[in-house]
Amino acid sequence: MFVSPKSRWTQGRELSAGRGVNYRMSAAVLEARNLAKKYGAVAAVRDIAFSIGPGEILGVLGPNGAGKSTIVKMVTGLVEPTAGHVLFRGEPIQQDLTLYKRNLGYVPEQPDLYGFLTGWEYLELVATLREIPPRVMREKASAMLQCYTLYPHRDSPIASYSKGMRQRIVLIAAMMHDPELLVLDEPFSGLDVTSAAVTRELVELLGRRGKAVLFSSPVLEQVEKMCTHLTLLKKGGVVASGPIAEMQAGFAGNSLEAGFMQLTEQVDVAHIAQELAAAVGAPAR
Amino acid sequence: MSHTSPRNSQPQSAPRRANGAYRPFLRLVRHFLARLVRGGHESESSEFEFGPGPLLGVLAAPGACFSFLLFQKYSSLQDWIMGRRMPNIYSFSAPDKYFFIGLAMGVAGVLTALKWDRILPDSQDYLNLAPLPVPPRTIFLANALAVAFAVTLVAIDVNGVSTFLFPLEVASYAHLDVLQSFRFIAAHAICLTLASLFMFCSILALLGTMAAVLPRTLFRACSPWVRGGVLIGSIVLFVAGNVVPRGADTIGRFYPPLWFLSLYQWLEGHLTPAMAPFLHKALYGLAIVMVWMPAAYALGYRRSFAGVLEGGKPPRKQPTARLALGFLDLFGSGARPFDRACYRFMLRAILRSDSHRMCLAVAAGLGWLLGAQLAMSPDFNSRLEAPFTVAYLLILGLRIAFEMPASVPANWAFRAALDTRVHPGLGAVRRVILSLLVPLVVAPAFVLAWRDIGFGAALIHAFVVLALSMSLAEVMLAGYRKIPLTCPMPPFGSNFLVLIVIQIVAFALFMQLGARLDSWFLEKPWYLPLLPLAMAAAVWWNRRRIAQAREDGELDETLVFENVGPVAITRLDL
Repeated sequence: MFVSPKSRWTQGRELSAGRGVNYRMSAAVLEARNLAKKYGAVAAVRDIAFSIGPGEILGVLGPNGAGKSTIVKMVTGLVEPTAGHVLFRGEPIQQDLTLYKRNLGYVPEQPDLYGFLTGWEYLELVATLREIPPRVMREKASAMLQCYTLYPHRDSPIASYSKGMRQRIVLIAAMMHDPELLVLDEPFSGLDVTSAAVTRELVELLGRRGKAVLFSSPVLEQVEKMCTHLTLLKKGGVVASGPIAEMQAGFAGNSLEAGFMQLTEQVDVAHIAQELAAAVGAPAR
Repeated sequence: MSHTSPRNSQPQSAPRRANGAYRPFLRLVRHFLARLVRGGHESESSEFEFGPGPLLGVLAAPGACFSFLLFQKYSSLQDWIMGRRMPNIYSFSAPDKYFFIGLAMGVAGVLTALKWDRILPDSQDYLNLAPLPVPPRTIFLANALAVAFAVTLVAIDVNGVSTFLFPLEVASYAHLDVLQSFRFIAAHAICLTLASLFMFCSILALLGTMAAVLPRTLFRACSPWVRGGVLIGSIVLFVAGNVVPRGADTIGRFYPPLWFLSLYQWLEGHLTPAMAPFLHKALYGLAIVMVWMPAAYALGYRRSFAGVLEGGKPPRKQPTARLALGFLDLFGSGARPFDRACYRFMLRAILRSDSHRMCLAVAAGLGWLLGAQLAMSPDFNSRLEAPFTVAYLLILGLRIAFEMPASVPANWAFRAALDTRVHPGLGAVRRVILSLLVPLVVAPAFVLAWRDIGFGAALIHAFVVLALSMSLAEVMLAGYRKIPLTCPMPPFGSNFLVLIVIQIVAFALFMQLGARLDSWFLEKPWYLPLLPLAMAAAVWWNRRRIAQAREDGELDETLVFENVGPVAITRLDL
């Protein structure tokens, strides 16, 4: 009924993670092998494997608590995996984390920005730490701020920004250095319709230009529209993985949404809604 | 998959730097400095926020003021008028040196305790800086340099004026020659800087060791209490004044300002026999904390920065805390539903938020410290002052805590549910004050008085303490139109010093007048009904005043959720 985690797409690139592995066998920009993460006794992620080639946009889809953000944190080097490896261009990212981060653009799920900095100061801080020359930074930041209609607000403190404005600042900061790999953790959160459409178009364009993109989201519609590949998570493990087109075909007649619901949440949606409505309508006293 | 030029793109390596046009390390140092002064999570910006200029001004003020006040003491004209002979200048000036040392250490301690959570990088720094191509070593060194720079700057600022003014006053009074004067200035500067550094390093070493050794959850639980203790200790150093404790074999030998007084004298070349035993303590103490602090800082840094996203244990149930909350909730019973909700919200926010808890702990701790000293006094009237001291500081601490936001973005819950034209929250505020006054002030005062003067008199004493404390709370809440903890911090910067002076005067008045009134009621208990009558009359008068103002349209009773600055231009409605 569904595509197995070790589908044709994954199997072709899967390698054992033991010693003496020739990491350079892979042509993928980013590869995860047997990734696992435990917080104490709780396994947040179990035996995850995927790879993203140049120009591919991989959607990591799953309900809340499925392990998407943990995967993203491991892939970005923010959290060390309990087991497994993350490879960039065939090399473990821990070998030269600084070099890896130079090629990485990351949009976190919740942008916790410095409220005392202005939008421009924040971009200037990020650009300086990425060693982007000031002139280049000024040109790029101005252009991107104007595209995202933030230019008039560039000198206001971030503390006064709305959630969508913060998200746009983070998107600019993530792309200002033209990274080879983009990791986007729920990037549309808080964005208005126009900004979301612009960002979706931008990511697709960057994909066509050869960038590798990992896109994490709980919303199937976003993933379906934008991604070339999909990894479906449930309770920290992969339940389905492969190119979007193949997965759509795999559900034979059913929509991807129906397949997604079937694979993830085994709940009676109508019954829960009825119970909620009854609770709402219950007398207040 | 269709894409253009995918595989020929090579990973970016380190870009070539254009003649120092951009320096990530220095930018990072600047960033950490800004964060020390202004930083933090804006939703939790509950501390008094000054800009760097006003902050340095406030810190420099006590040393400068005391230096100016000493002009009178070191006046040869006054000696001549009073017929006083020139004293031994080194022993004559020892109490003032001692005061400056206490001031330097106290300020360093208060600042370190308050800014502790900004000294080490936190989760916000981790989420912003860790994804960037900056090696952890660079972040560590930049943070360390920023902290070192800030500490040096504060030490210079706090002691700068006194370093020149005080030695010059003494030198001109005692007719010291140029060489002696320079030695005096150098001794003053070195000793006070080392005292500040000692305090800073000790606290950082202590908290850094705790961060490195204790399990994360235990450290989080202990940290606010330790910081609160450090804050109280630092304030005590600050207010200890210029009375030098005596005796190398008393408890005073563990008191660091004494060690640094001996160092001061040694640097001047006039070490007295009484101070000599403390010199090696100062030198050993400095050496120990200078070695200990960097190690603890590095370990604490590693724990707090590198492992910031790793915490995964669910919070424990804390049955004792639940029991205490259950008891305190009793004070909210019988209130209107809205007041009850406000009461429960305030109580939980104050007891669970680190900054609020620390504010309350410092106020109550300082009150208890001063109160305990007074309670042990042989003088009966001084003993009566003890509960008033604790009550004043507790109510003041609560009043400050009410101004500190718990989480401003969350105040929509109140805004959405309220009609802001009526003012329903003040009843809950009174209940919060009462709920903490009873167990922390009134009950201990009653128990101590029972042991001291008998049950009946203790009842009168407890009643007077409670009545006057609630009256004080009413005065402090006059004009208050907020639901506590839901508004941004008001700007205190412009009138901060005035507020401090007012509070000091009010504290002294409340303590002494309260004790006198209490003593009078104890002597003439048949006058006791006058107290509730007077309070009822005051309440009646106040209500009448408010009703009159409401009738005249002069009363603005709308609840406030934002701090509106003063209006620059007022349109006169003639």
